[in-house]
Amino acid sequence: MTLLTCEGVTKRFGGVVALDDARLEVSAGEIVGLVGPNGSGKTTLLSCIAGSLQVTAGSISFDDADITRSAPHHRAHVGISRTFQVPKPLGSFTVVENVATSCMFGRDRLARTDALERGRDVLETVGLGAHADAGVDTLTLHERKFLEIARALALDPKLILLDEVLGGLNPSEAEEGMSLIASLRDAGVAVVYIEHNVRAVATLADRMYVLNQGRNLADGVPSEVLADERVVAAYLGGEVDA
Amino acid sequence: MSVSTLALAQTLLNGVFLGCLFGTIALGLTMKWGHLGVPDFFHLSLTLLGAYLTYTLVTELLWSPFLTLVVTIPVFFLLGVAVQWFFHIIKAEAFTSLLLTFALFIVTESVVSMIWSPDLLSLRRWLSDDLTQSAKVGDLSVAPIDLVALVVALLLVGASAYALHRTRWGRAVQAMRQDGQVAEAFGVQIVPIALVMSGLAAGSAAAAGMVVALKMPLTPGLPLHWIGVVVVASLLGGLGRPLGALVAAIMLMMIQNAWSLWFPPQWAPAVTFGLLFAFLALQPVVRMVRDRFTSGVARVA
Amino acid sequence: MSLDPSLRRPLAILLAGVVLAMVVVPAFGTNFQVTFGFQFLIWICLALSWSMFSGNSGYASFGHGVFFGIGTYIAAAVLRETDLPFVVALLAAGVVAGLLALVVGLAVFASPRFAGDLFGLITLAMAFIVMTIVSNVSFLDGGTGVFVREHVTDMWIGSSTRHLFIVAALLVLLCGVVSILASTTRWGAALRSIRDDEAVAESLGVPTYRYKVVTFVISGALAGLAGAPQAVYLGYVEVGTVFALTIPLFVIMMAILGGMTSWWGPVVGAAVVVTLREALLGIGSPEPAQVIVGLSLVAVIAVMPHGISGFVSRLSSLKTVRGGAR
Repeated sequence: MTLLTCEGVTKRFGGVVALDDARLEVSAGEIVGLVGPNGSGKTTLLSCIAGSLQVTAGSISFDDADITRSAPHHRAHVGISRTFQVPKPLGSFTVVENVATSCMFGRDRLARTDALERGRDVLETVGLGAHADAGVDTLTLHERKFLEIARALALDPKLILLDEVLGGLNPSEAEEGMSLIASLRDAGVAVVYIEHNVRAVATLADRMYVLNQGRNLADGVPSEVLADERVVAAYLGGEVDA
Repeated sequence: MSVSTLALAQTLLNGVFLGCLFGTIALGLTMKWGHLGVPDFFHLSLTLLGAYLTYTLVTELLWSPFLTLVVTIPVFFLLGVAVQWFFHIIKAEAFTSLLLTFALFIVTESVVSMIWSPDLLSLRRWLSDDLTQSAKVGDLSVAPIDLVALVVALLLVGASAYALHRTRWGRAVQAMRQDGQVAEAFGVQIVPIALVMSGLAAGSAAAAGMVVALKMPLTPGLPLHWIGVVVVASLLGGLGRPLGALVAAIMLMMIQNAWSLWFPPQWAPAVTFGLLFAFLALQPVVRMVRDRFTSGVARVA
Repeated sequence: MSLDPSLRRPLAILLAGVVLAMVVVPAFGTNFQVTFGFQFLIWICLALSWSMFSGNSGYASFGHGVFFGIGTYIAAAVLRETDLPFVVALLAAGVVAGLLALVVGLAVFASPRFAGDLFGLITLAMAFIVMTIVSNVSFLDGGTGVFVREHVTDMWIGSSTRHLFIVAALLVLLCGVVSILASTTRWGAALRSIRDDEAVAESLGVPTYRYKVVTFVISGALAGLAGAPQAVYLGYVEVGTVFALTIPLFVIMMAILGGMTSWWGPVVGAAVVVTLREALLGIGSPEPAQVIVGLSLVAVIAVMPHGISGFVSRLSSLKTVRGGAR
């Protein structure tokens, strides 16, 4: 069952075309990887899906409803949540209050005390339970990234958009991250995730899309995509990923 | 009520010269706002101070107004650097800086009133006829003071635009605005640049102040009359674009002056702000037009 | 909805303070003290209503004086043109100010470009435009000013400054309650998430546009309400004094000085600024006083960036627990 459909998505910033007729489809409960060289438009596409950017042209539909012109908060209410590439915790809130905000304003609209309780539970599942009452400036990068995920999870989403959550993590932290993402799928949540490390995406994703210069280059099952000559050429011709 | 073309032409011409003055005042504001990120209301106060200092130097020491620049410009440069350095020391964020400039703005008005009294002070009597006597250019009147305003504007704005686009320093300034961190990686020192910029802006305020003293009677409340035009001109011309601010200021004053020929002049300030709102509403169109015709500091959406 | 326990204490303190003031000052205070008290209460209303929106959301408005001023003029117009009781003038003042805030808010918040200092400038521009309109529309002012005193001498409100004091105290109670609610509860959480990072707040489901507009309207309406007793107090209303730029500046100063991390910060800030000004007025002309107050603000910001209440809360709280409602 198709959950998200992006068709003909074009995004222009002044004279710069960040996305050109991009397309993406996600079905319920699957993990979709989104990769591409630097500047290929991955984050832009994610932002268009999340609603923080308005598309210049094209359409986005979620759960059989057209959300192309919907505000981001509305998309959060229908079940789309996201993380930011550079973690953006809410500075004047504690860790648990950050997560509680999702519970208070998300789909369930919980009261404050219930939201805080639920927030603690979510923090436990991502392993940040001990930091619940700390200020966000005490968190390491790895903890901030997981807070991003916790906040997005607390919205009880049907689709979660992850923007390079594994970037900057050491191998064991990255392992943790990947098993967390896998557990999302097990819980029935669909995932679109951007990653620079193509191999990491390949092991986890059910399907993959490759963007290059704002356009779809290839998509399909990871093994096929990685073998695609055009994909290899795009990466070797542009940035080389370690 | 019919208006003769001559009256219209004269008022438009007056608007041009007045616009030159406001463009000069706006220069410091638009540069600091566009490249340092904070609209500096205090800049208007510095201009006022420059005007009053010019007045005192001319009336007490009997200097020529142009000679005063030799003193006022360096002193104001140092003052500009000092204020910027203070902001740096207290690590003021953007909003705090904005509030501080506003507080300094109000404080200066009171200080000026205390030192020079709230009465109107005019340099007119001390100026030679060469400066004040209007000459006829065709059917239109032009006063040498107006030409001074024009020359000062062209000099300062021209120098700024040149420095910004053709020198290495200028490119560093542009880079700083686009992405501070990247700029630092390339060796652009943000703090010294900010200090120098403030100094230069303050120096330009001294020059603008001299023109103000030549052109109009002084009263402590003058900057309140400038705020509208100067801010709107900076925004319309594009923050950080010296030439843009000058052109916008000239157009604004021409429109305001022309307006007063047919409509009640008290509504003129509202016209300025009305234009601002219209401009803001039409932003996407403006951006498209500007990007197509100029190469300036790229703007983040 | 039962009262959240964390709200009980601040509400109780507020109520106690207001009741105490209402009982003690009019009964025992001299005319001068009552008058001074009235002005002080009005400043508190303005500081609280400003901080309630700008302090919590991070959108610094420079136009707060406009809502206050419009309230003053509307009240003056109602009192002058009709025989309706003061309450009507009061409500009209609040409603019109709120409508102005609604129009401006709906337009300005609709676009993300109008954040930050641009918002501040737009509110400043709004101030200039409203001033120009009021000066030129004879129903409101027309350039001559409006005499209110003669219309209110036979009304309860105009018969004694003590009555003005009571009205102001009630307005403080209202502003205080709204401020407490806007800085705690779900409302406060929404506003502060907007201040911290609006894009993030949106992504978490906070309907930012709605919260900004509604809060801005309430903030403006409260300032408008305060304008009504002000009209009676002034007796004669004219554009220069009513819309003076120093008013919003002082309001902002009070909020910053007092700190906006706690709802009561602006109250403390108002107390400090008003007392300082009063003490300095003995020096002579108003200018030195203004200079000293302005410079004091600069000094305070350098030392206590979060104002007095921020400083106090930093002293008294443990380092590990941060932020949150009070």
